[in-house]
Amino acid sequence: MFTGGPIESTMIAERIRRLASDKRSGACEIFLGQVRDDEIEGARVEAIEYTAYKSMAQSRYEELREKIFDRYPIRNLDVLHSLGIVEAGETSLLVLVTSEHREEAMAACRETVDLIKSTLPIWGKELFGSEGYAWKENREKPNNG
Amino acid sequence: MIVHFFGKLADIAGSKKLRLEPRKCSEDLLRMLEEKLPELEQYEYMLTVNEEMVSGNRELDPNDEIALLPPFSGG
Repeated sequence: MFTGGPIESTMIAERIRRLASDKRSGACEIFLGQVRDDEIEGARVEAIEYTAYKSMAQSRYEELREKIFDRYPIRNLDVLHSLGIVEAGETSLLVLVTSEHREEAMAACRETVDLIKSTLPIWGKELFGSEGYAWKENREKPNNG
Repeated sequence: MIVHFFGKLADIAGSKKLRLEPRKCSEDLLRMLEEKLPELEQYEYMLTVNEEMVSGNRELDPNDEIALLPPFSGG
Protein backbone atom coordinates (compact mmCIF):
# COMPACT_ATOMS: atom_id res chain seq x y z
CA MET A 1 0.00 0.00 0.00
CA PHE A 2 3.02 2.29 0.14
CA THR A 3 4.93 4.18 -2.51
CA GLY A 4 8.06 6.34 -2.12
CA GLY A 5 7.44 10.05 -2.69
CA PRO A 6 4.35 11.70 -4.11
CA ILE A 7 1.66 9.86 -6.03
CA GLU A 8 2.07 11.01 -9.63
CA SER A 9 -0.89 11.64 -11.89
CA THR A 10 0.45 8.95 -14.26
CA MET A 11 0.09 6.39 -11.44
CA ILE A 12 -3.48 7.51 -10.83
CA ALA A 13 -4.27 7.38 -14.55
CA GLU A 14 -2.83 3.86 -14.79
CA ARG A 15 -4.97 2.61 -11.92
CA ILE A 16 -8.06 4.16 -13.50
CA ARG A 17 -7.18 2.67 -16.87
CA ARG A 18 -6.95 -0.80 -15.29
CA LEU A 19 -10.54 -0.52 -14.10
CA ALA A 20 -11.85 -0.59 -17.66
CA SER A 21 -11.44 -4.37 -17.71
CA ASP A 22 -14.08 -4.75 -14.98
CA LYS A 23 -17.27 -4.47 -16.99
CA ARG A 24 -19.50 -5.18 -13.97
CA SER A 25 -18.52 -1.89 -12.35
CA GLY A 26 -20.82 1.05 -12.94
CA ALA A 27 -19.13 3.38 -10.50
CA CYS A 28 -15.64 4.32 -9.42
CA GLU A 29 -15.20 6.68 -6.49
CA ILE A 30 -11.79 8.32 -6.14
CA PHE A 31 -10.31 10.23 -3.21
CA LEU A 32 -7.04 12.09 -3.48
CA GLY A 33 -5.37 13.46 -0.36
CA GLN A 34 -3.02 16.29 -1.06
CA VAL A 35 -0.46 18.11 1.10
CA ARG A 36 -1.89 21.51 2.00
CA ASP A 37 0.33 24.56 2.57
CA ASP A 38 -1.10 25.33 6.01
CA GLU A 39 0.26 28.28 7.88
CA ILE A 40 1.17 27.41 11.47
CA GLU A 41 2.36 30.18 13.77
CA GLY A 42 3.62 32.24 10.86
CA ALA A 43 5.43 29.39 9.10
CA ARG A 44 4.09 27.73 5.96
CA VAL A 45 4.05 23.96 5.38
CA GLU A 46 6.32 23.28 2.39
CA ALA A 47 6.12 19.51 2.53
CA ILE A 48 5.18 16.57 4.72
CA GLU A 49 7.54 13.70 5.41
CA TYR A 50 5.64 10.45 6.00
CA THR A 51 6.93 7.53 8.04
CA ALA A 52 5.16 4.34 9.08
CA TYR A 53 5.46 1.19 11.15
CA LYS A 54 5.30 -0.60 7.85
CA SER A 55 4.70 -4.22 8.82
CA MET A 56 1.97 -3.25 11.29
CA ALA A 57 0.41 -0.82 8.78
CA GLN A 58 0.31 -3.56 6.16
CA SER A 59 -1.50 -6.02 8.45
CA ARG A 60 -3.89 -3.36 9.70
CA TYR A 61 -4.55 -2.44 6.08
CA GLU A 62 -5.49 -6.06 5.33
CA GLU A 63 -7.97 -5.92 8.24
CA LEU A 64 -9.32 -2.61 6.95
CA ARG A 65 -9.93 -4.17 3.52
CA GLU A 66 -11.79 -7.10 5.04
CA LYS A 67 -13.96 -4.75 7.06
CA ILE A 68 -14.83 -2.61 4.03
CA PHE A 69 -15.58 -5.58 1.78
CA ASP A 70 -17.77 -7.06 4.53
CA ARG A 71 -19.67 -3.86 5.02
CA TYR A 72 -20.19 -2.73 1.42
CA PRO A 73 -20.99 -4.69 -1.77
CA ILE A 74 -18.05 -3.20 -3.64
CA ARG A 75 -16.02 -4.83 -6.37
CA ASN A 76 -12.56 -3.45 -5.73
CA LEU A 77 -10.62 -1.25 -3.35
CA ASP A 78 -7.23 0.23 -4.13
CA VAL A 79 -5.20 2.31 -1.68
CA LEU A 80 -1.84 3.97 -2.12
CA HIS A 81 -0.10 6.05 0.57
CA SER A 82 3.13 7.96 0.17
CA LEU A 83 6.21 7.49 2.34
CA GLY A 84 9.02 10.02 2.45
CA ILE A 85 8.67 13.62 1.32
CA VAL A 86 5.60 14.95 -0.46
CA GLU A 87 5.50 18.67 -1.25
CA ALA A 88 2.55 21.02 -0.84
CA GLY A 89 0.21 20.54 -3.79
CA GLU A 90 1.33 16.95 -4.36
CA THR A 91 -0.79 13.89 -3.69
CA SER A 92 0.00 11.64 -0.74
CA LEU A 93 -3.07 9.40 -0.60
CA LEU A 94 -5.14 7.64 -3.24
CA VAL A 95 -8.27 5.63 -2.51
CA LEU A 96 -10.17 4.06 -5.40
CA VAL A 97 -13.38 2.08 -4.92
CA THR A 98 -15.40 0.36 -7.61
CA SER A 99 -18.88 -1.09 -7.37
CA GLU A 100 -21.91 -1.82 -9.50
CA HIS A 101 -23.73 1.26 -8.20
CA ARG A 102 -22.56 4.59 -6.84
CA GLU A 103 -24.00 4.57 -3.32
CA GLU A 104 -21.74 1.84 -1.97
CA ALA A 105 -18.64 3.17 -3.77
CA MET A 106 -19.09 6.62 -2.25
CA ALA A 107 -19.84 5.34 1.26
CA ALA A 108 -17.00 2.78 1.19
CA CYS A 109 -14.52 5.38 -0.03
CA ARG A 110 -15.43 7.78 2.76
CA GLU A 111 -15.13 5.11 5.44
CA THR A 112 -11.84 3.85 3.99
CA VAL A 113 -10.30 7.33 4.21
CA ASP A 114 -11.54 7.72 7.80
CA LEU A 115 -10.15 4.31 8.79
CA ILE A 116 -6.77 5.00 7.15
CA LYS A 117 -6.45 8.17 9.20
CA SER A 118 -7.56 6.65 12.46
CA THR A 119 -6.16 3.11 12.44
CA LEU A 120 -2.98 2.90 10.36
CA PRO A 121 0.39 3.54 12.09
CA ILE A 122 1.52 6.31 9.74
CA TRP A 123 2.91 9.69 10.81
CA GLY A 124 3.44 13.00 9.04
CA LYS A 125 6.11 15.54 9.86
CA GLU A 126 5.23 19.00 8.55
CA LEU A 127 8.34 20.67 7.13
CA PHE A 128 8.57 24.46 7.18
CA GLY A 129 11.73 24.90 5.10
CA SER A 130 14.35 26.66 7.17
CA GLU A 131 11.82 27.26 9.97
CA GLY A 132 12.01 23.67 11.23
CA TYR A 133 9.20 21.15 11.50
CA ALA A 134 6.21 20.01 13.56
CA TRP A 135 4.55 16.62 13.90
CA LYS A 136 1.13 16.59 12.26
CA GLU A 137 -1.93 15.94 14.36
CA ASN A 138 -4.98 14.49 12.68
CA ARG A 139 -8.20 16.30 13.42
CA GLU A 140 -11.16 14.42 14.79
CA LYS A 141 -13.47 13.25 12.03
CA PRO A 142 -15.60 16.26 11.08
CA ASN A 143 -19.31 15.94 11.87
CA ASN A 144 -21.56 15.28 8.94
CA GLY A 145 -23.84 18.29 8.61
CA MET B 1 15.60 -5.93 24.08
CA ILE B 2 15.01 -3.44 21.27
CA VAL B 3 12.35 -0.78 21.51
CA HIS B 4 11.28 1.06 18.36
CA PHE B 5 10.13 4.67 18.48
CA PHE B 6 7.96 6.44 15.93
CA GLY B 7 7.03 10.04 15.20
CA LYS B 8 7.65 12.55 17.93
CA LEU B 9 8.76 9.78 20.30
CA ALA B 10 11.82 9.09 18.12
CA ASP B 11 12.82 12.73 18.62
CA ILE B 12 12.50 12.28 22.38
CA ALA B 13 14.43 9.00 22.39
CA GLY B 14 17.07 10.52 20.11
CA SER B 15 16.79 7.47 17.89
CA LYS B 16 14.32 5.25 16.02
CA LYS B 17 15.37 2.36 18.22
CA LEU B 18 17.08 1.80 21.55
CA ARG B 19 18.68 -1.37 22.83
CA LEU B 20 17.73 -1.84 26.48
CA GLU B 21 18.15 -4.39 29.22
CA PRO B 22 15.34 -6.92 28.94
CA ARG B 23 12.40 -6.47 31.26
CA LYS B 24 9.99 -9.22 32.26
CA CYS B 25 6.83 -7.24 31.81
CA SER B 26 5.52 -4.18 30.01
CA GLU B 27 4.90 -2.15 33.16
CA ASP B 28 8.57 -2.55 34.15
CA LEU B 29 9.64 -1.60 30.66
CA LEU B 30 7.53 1.54 30.60
CA ARG B 31 8.74 2.53 34.05
CA MET B 32 12.35 2.14 32.89
CA LEU B 33 11.67 4.13 29.73
CA GLU B 34 10.02 6.96 31.63
CA GLU B 35 12.99 7.11 34.02
CA LYS B 36 15.44 7.14 31.13
CA LEU B 37 13.40 9.62 29.07
CA PRO B 38 11.38 11.73 31.51
CA GLU B 39 9.93 13.82 28.67
CA LEU B 40 7.93 10.74 27.60
CA GLU B 41 5.47 11.25 30.43
CA GLN B 42 4.12 14.41 28.76
CA TYR B 43 3.10 12.54 25.64
CA GLU B 44 0.32 10.23 24.67
CA TYR B 45 1.51 6.90 23.24
CA MET B 46 0.55 3.31 22.78
CA LEU B 47 2.76 0.31 23.42
CA THR B 48 2.79 -2.53 20.92
CA VAL B 49 4.30 -5.98 21.36
CA ASN B 50 4.70 -7.92 18.11
CA GLU B 51 2.47 -5.36 16.40
CA GLU B 52 -0.39 -5.76 18.87
CA MET B 53 -1.55 -2.96 21.11
CA VAL B 54 -1.00 -3.67 24.78
CA SER B 55 -2.85 -2.07 27.64
CA GLY B 56 -2.31 -3.12 31.22
CA ASN B 57 0.57 -5.36 32.16
CA ARG B 58 1.91 -8.03 29.83
CA GLU B 59 4.77 -10.51 30.11
CA LEU B 60 7.61 -9.87 27.71
CA ASP B 61 10.01 -12.18 25.96
CA PRO B 62 13.47 -10.80 25.06
CA ASN B 63 12.72 -11.56 21.39
CA ASP B 64 9.48 -9.58 21.31
CA GLU B 65 9.28 -6.67 18.90
CA ILE B 66 8.36 -3.66 21.03
CA ALA B 67 7.33 -0.25 19.83
CA LEU B 68 6.04 3.01 21.20
CA LEU B 69 3.58 4.72 18.87
CA PRO B 70 2.27 8.28 19.18
CA PRO B 71 -1.23 9.12 17.86
CA PHE B 72 -1.40 8.44 14.12
CA SER B 73 -1.30 11.28 11.61
CA GLY B 74 -1.32 9.60 8.22
CA GLY B 75 -3.86 9.85 5.43
